[in-house]
Amino acid sequence: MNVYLPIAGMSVDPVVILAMGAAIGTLSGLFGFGGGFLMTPILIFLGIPPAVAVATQTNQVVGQSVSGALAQWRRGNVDLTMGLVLIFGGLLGSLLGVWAFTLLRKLGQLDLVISLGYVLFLGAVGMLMLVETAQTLLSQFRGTAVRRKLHEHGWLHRLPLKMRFRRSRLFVSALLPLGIGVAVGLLASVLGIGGGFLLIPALVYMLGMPTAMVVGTALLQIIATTAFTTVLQAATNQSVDLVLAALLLTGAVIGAQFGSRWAARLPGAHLRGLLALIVLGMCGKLAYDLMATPAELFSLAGAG
Amino acid sequence: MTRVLALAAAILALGASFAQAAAIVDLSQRNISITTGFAGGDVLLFGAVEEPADIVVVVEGPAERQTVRRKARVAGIWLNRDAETFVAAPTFYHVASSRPLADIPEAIRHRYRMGVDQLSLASEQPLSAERRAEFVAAFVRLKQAERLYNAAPGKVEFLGHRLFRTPLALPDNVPTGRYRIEVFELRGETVTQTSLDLQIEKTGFEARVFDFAQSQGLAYGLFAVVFALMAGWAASAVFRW
Repeated sequence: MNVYLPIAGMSVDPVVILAMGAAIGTLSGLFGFGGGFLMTPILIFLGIPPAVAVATQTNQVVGQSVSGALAQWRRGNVDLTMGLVLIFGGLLGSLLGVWAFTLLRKLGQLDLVISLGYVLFLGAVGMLMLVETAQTLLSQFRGTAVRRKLHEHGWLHRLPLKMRFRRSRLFVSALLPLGIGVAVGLLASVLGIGGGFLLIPALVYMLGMPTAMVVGTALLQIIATTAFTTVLQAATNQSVDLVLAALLLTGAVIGAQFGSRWAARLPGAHLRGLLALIVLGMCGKLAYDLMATPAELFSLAGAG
Repeated sequence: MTRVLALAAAILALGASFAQAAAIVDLSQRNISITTGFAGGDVLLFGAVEEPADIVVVVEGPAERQTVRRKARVAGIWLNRDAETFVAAPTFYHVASSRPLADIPEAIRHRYRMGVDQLSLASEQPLSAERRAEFVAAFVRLKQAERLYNAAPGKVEFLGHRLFRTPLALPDNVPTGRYRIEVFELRGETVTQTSLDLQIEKTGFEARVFDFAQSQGLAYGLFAVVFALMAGWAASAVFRW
């Protein structure tokens, strides 16, 4: 049986979408990321128009981040002041991103920018994960932990507009979280990524936020930014497919629950290494598609 | 099927009483609804002629502005470089005939737009003959790849000398709107034409979602967000319990 997607204007096998959602949900539960950066390219490979894939995936991230955010909120692990500055940045980035998205779509360059964005993003994420895996495995082998400097004072800390963030015990320029927020908003609107992959390391290494506060605050910002982006995309591009979002969400939330349960029992470092290879593989496929001479040079400007 | 044949027989009997009338034709369905389970549909066009004749059936979907883009290599990457827009190109096109189209005089084929090579595609910008040919060929090729223009003309089958029928397959990505079906009866140089309409629309849940998204984007977006929040919350509540 097939299900017709009203916005994408095509029919898909719901089992395939549910299974994809569940698989990526499981991975996200295992590793604690949103999974948008895996799902959007897979949807595009499945033939969903890129514009619809990106906007719908943004909506999916909203739903998927809720349970994590609620759990962190109950434990009091959210720095609301920091969250609000990040959200403000996220909204700016999202506005800018949706405006660029609409313009690129009109110019017929949206698919190209999405592909290029993913090549860069997946390439960077894959390499980072691979390096991290190698370090973990190496330190396990040697029996020592890799040590990092906790807090560095560089030019980032000399920026103006200093603000006090009590919960995180930080006194830094508001421009820093604002800038990080803008970057996350851009990623959400143009690539359909929650941005946790960028946000969490940025909060830890650039701002020096206490690790306990990072995940909850990041999830709060991701929910607000993706929710705002979904509304903007729906209002300007009419590219959010509710039926597709419902299928993806169903698979993902169930998968995530199992993933987080299995996380303790599975060999994390090896899995992470495997995932890094998958991510690099997807990056390679997208890069190849951009560079190989296409069989058909012409295309119809449609929903994409 | 029996219903169709009975109807066709009735039409035949009716037709016999009006000498020299045009062909009588009908469709197995005048309305196609795109619902949740829609995976394409089949419509049967059938009819009867007074005297033996050749039949050509042309089906055209609603005309729309459509743009064809061409990629070129820039710094090692293939990207869309130029484009041409056709102002009113049929979104769907299907032709079927009882005799190979090539056997029908070119003048008639051209006049009645019989065959993908006879479409009148007006471009927005004036084009050189060479460029026009290139973009028109690409447009038709892409439409054929999407199964929206038929790759090879279909066949109109005769049952005896008077009853004829031809199937029309609609893919799952069929555009919505009012389809114009022209049935041409060819006897030498004389052409008699009969027209029919076929309505294809999204109905039920799909239609409501689509209309909601198109007409009230902002409310639709808010609804999508609330839905996602509720789904996420419900899932975490269920699994905690």
